[in-house]
Amino acid sequence: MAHFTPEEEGARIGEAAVFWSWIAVLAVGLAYMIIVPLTGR
Amino acid sequence: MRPLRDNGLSLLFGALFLVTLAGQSIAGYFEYSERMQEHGQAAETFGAFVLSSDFVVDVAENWQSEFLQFFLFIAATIWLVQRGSPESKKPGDEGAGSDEEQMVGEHAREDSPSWARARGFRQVVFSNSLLLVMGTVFVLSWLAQSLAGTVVMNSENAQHGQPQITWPEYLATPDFWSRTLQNWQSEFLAVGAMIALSIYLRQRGSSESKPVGLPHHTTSVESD
Repeated sequence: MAHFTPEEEGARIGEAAVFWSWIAVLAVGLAYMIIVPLTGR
Repeated sequence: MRPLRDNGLSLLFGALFLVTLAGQSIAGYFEYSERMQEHGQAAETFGAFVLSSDFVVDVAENWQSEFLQFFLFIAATIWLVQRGSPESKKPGDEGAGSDEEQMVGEHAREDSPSWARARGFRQVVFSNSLLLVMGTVFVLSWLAQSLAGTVVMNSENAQHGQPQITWPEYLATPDFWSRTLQNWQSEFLAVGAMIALSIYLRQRGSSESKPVGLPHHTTSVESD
């Protein structure tokens, strides 16, 4: 296991937050774009 | 602020996405309302418009083309090169690369991702994960465009006393392919231009450019 300084650990958390935020945007956007027409609106 | 500096690129484009999506929804609502008035129909609320296929089809047709662009660009740059372009590997480097070059399996480093150290299915999935996700977003947003386009076309058909169509029938309409291809052509033009223009043109300080003084024939600094 690699060990990280507190500063490196903070940077890794920031990277992860950015990555998962974008995954969430894509997932929510796709779900919205597929569900709306399926409801016939 | 260190977190802002470390993540500036994704934060800028995330903010631009949200602002322009909001702008598109507002402009689209006014355009939609005018169209409803011309047809003598009651105006809908902004919320109803945002939750309508009229808005979704316009958003989805742009999503699918952008993700197709990156999907094809990522896939094509595995096997094809453009001599002199910083967007390309250098001639001779075509292909997926050896395990040693890619630092996978027994060649993984101590700090490599665990799925790069793994063998078999997990390594194959992780080795192609960017392409898989971009391709999945493309397929699902193209599906969304087609579903929303069907609802919009059936709404217009109902206004004009025309028969309803099914989803497979919509896939064969000029409307579906016009919406699709008008976006694809512009994406392919932009990617091709970026690859070709970056042979001779530079942007000092950008990761998308070769260093200003690097010779035109040099494809990329890293691979050289």
